[in-house]
Amino acid sequence: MNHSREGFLQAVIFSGIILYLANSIGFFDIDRLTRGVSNLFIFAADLFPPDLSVTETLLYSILETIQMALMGTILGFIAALPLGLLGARNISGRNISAVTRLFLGGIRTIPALLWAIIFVVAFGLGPLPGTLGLAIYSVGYLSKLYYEAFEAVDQEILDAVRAIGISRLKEIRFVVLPESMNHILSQLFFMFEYNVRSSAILGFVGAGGIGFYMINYIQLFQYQRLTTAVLLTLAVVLIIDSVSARIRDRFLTRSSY
Amino acid sequence: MAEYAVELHNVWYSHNGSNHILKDIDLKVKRGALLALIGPSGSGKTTLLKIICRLIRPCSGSISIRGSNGDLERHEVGYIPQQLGLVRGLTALENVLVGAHSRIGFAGTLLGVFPEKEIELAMKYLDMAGIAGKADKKVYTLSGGERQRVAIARALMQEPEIILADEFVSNLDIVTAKEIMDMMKKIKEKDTTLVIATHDISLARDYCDMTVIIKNGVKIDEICSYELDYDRVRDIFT
Repeated sequence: MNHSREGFLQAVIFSGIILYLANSIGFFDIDRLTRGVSNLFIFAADLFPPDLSVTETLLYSILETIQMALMGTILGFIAALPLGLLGARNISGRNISAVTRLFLGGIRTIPALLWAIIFVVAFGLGPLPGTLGLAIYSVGYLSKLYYEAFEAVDQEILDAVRAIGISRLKEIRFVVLPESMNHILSQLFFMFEYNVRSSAILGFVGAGGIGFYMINYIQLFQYQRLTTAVLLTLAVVLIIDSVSARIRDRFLTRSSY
Repeated sequence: MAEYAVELHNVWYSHNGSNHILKDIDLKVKRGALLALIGPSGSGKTTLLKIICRLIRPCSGSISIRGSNGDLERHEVGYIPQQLGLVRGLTALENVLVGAHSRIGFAGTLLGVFPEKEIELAMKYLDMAGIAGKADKKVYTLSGGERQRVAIARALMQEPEIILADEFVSNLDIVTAKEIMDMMKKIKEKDTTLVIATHDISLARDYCDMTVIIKNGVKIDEICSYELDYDRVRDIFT
């Protein structure tokens, strides 16, 4: 079989799979799609204009959201750094890293929302369960990002210092951490940004923050108030994006020569 | 005092038990000598250096450093890898201080505070390497030649008996490479042994006392460096 015929056959099979999936999900149900789009326009019209009378209440709650995201990220970071080191094969060896990765994989399997529900059941309503949920979720993801960054440290640098005979702790302090600092910081900022967005959702299950108000406005059909909450969240996320980009530019070094 | 700084006897090495990278290597390097390991890429030069500084263990054979095949203090052998192995986010001075770590405890250095005498020593070696003026510059801001000097200062900071350098001037232009080699020869202590892996014949001939030729993991020849000429090694590189 020549290459062009083989390529054509692959394209047909691939397109067939995509079409089958789209059909089974409902993308070809024209009546339903038309009805849905029309509903979206009605819903969009209900969202405007935003009701600014709730701004003060929402500002207070969004501060709580930022507080949760910040604390969750910091707690997650404190645990993720040593777990990332344990998960890196070039630092802790295959056996320890395999056990650590299994543990971290288990944590990542449970989404932040489910962690928040678990902690709401355990600790009651409010920002505490939300913060704990974000912290655990951050541990799972940051640790994975960190052990991948630590494993990317140039083997030649490790060889050069191992030949000197310095201890493993010093190797981590003076080689692995400085070499990975760009990754450590940029992923930390990314996690914080992610947690601000995520903590808004956690309020849906009573875990504090602006999400608590969002779900209330949805349930009470107060969509104009919901718009105010969404716009405030968007503003905060944009501010955090811009501040963290500035911090990154200021502190991060070039990652290669 | 042992006559030889490095002695290797019947050394074999492979990653997987077959496909040997080094085959039955015998090598003796006199104290204070400057030895070139010459051979094409993939001939086993780097592996041999890693075995000498004990980063990897041979499958069989014996290694003796300064007459001892037992407890070698790692810092007695300084190793400069091909890409130098400097920590890019640290300054030149901090990189050189890494060479002193075998002498100082962990607690004192946790916050990056080093004994004053170690800092003075690091500055002395940076000065000898001609790079003291850029001690506080991050390594990633330095040029190739400047980084080479920092790597040499770090190796000297270990105060080693033996320095192993792997193709460490091969990325530099010929003028800078000669400057670095001149400096290396000048600052090398009388008893310090220097082993350089290279594929540069003129560098081996001009700077080294002896040259060992390796191809496909086998030691082909061992000659005085002044006997090196292109006719003699042409077959090795083809």
